[in-house]
Amino acid sequence: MMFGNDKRGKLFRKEKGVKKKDVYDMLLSIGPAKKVVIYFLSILLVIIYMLPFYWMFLKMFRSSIFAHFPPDLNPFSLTSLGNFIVNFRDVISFGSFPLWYFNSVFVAVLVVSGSVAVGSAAGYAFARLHFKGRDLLFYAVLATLMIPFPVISIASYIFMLDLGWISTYQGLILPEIVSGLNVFIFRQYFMTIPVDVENAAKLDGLNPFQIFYRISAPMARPAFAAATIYTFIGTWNNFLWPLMEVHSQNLFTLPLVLNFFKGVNGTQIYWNEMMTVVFLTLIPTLVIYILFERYFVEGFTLSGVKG
Amino acid sequence: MAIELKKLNMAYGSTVALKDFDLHVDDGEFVAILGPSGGGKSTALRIIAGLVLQDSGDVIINGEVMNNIHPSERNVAMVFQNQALYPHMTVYNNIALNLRMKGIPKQEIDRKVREVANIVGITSILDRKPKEISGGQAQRVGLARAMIRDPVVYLMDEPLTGLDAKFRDEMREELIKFHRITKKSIIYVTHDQIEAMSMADRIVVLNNGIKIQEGSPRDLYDNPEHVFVATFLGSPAMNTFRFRKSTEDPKLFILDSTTEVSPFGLEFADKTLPDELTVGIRPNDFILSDDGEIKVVLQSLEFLGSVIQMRVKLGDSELIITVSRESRTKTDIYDLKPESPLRFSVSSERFYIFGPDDRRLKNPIIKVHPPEAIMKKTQGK
Repeated sequence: MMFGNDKRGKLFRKEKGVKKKDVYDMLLSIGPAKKVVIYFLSILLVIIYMLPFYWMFLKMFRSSIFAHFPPDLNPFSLTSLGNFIVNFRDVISFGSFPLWYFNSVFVAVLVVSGSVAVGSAAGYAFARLHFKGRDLLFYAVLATLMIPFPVISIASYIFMLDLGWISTYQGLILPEIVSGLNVFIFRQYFMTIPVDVENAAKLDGLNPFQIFYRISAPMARPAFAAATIYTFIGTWNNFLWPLMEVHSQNLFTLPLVLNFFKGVNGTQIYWNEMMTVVFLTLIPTLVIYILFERYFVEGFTLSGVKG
Repeated sequence: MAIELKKLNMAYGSTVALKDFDLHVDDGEFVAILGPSGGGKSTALRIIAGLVLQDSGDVIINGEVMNNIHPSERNVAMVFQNQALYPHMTVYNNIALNLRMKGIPKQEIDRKVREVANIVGITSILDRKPKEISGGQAQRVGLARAMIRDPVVYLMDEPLTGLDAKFRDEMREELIKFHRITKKSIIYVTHDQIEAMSMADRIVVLNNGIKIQEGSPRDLYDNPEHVFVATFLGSPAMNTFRFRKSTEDPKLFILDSTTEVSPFGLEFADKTLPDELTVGIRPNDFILSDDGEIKVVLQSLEFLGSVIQMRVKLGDSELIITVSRESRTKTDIYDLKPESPLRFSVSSERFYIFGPDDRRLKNPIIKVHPPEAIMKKTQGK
């Protein structure tokens, strides 16, 4: 053996992004008076954010669509579970609910994978490749972030009409795959990866495409997580585009389905069933968030984007 | 000859990174390219590796022109600053990737990986990820990853930058050992003159893309041909003073920052000398003596173990002087207070005289007089 075994040397690695530990350390360094204010505000925020969920549970555990007086504010009672099972059965047998659920999942999966694939490749190109007009093109991509969807919705609709893609899966999916935000997230992340790692790969005999998918992409996991969560939530909750694009019930996604439960002409609202649908709709979002949560904050702080 | 560079030119926009840069490296030679950051040394290394394409000039490796050959086929290996290991791969896979890309059979790869891991002493961490190992271990993984390719030359780009000072000393020793064991050429880029002086067989000093001087560490230290080399090598750096020719006596030179005539008691016998000169004196070439011709005022004094480093004022210029702890004066050296006057002498062969273009003057004939004599001479006029 040529060298002794030494554990003393330390490389000064620059810590990137915000770690949970940093937040805890920050909290510990704050004085008690400030702490009270911070905790009070945090608890207030939690209550505000949790109220709709409380209401969702309240309603999905009821059998009747009518309000009682005095109102019963405890969502959990002896009949709760039974009520929920009845509501659940009613919901999944309503129209083609399983198909609609499948539509939502199908569209979301394809949009997320397509958008992340395109976004990461484009972001990598903007971060690493040198070509004429690169920066101008990148600014053009950034500019698309500033245009709200309703502004281009009619143009998009006419475009789909010309392609004959109205009320088709491709019409529902393809326009959503193009995401300036994802390109931006990936570009910013790839720019933080040291060029020398890629140079080392080049010397090891990898071609640019291999460098991308064997070296750089695996290093950009936080960006992939952030883009996946962001795109998934956006697509899963998307209401306006499916509303315009889909003319047949066979292509309905969950946000459109929810619309049914508000009743005809708004006269009768089936709160208990509606909230059961809301609950079922929430599950995949929660699963995605739990799966990718640990990369999520890092991904967004690094790209300098706030969700 | 392992590596030859011929008239390399490279510019990034209007910034010149290399200008007509020539270099030859013999088989088994350890060459350091030394210079300040932005001096073009890293660019030179990247051009050899093929990571950067030069504007003009040739890269010849083992007798073959490699200008348009892909980095992976140039038979060179690079060790990067901060190692640039693949963070998502284990140490084993970091080392093995190159052989995998070449399609070498698994057992062969395994044998080779274990062989180099054994040489650099990282067998026990092969299964770990780069973030689970120490900086020194990462260093060795970087070496192992380079070694497995069995290259003609190792290109090292400031590999010790980022390690803490104490550990850097140990790694220097290990790199010297590494060189002795592999017997391969090494081109080592650094801005740290101590690294270059302690490891290299030959040093090439590069500044603003231009080769200033090359030679053995000792040669560069003893015979710097340029102010830049003189001040860059050696620690603390050489003191330099700008002199201009006296209008009254062409033999006399006046220190720029004072009105005092030649505080060193220098007289140049050569009348063809240029109007401006730079005089350099290494801090350790000053000899403390009570009748020395250089009169200075002490500013501060640091005890550094075997030597004592003084900051003193000569006219308006500050300079650094190191003396051995055995030096004696009228007063005990440890009793000296700031503002104490001190006298030093410097023997005439210890003056480094540079012309206005910062190049060393060839044999300027100089005499050292006691300053009083010179003062009298000028006052007499």
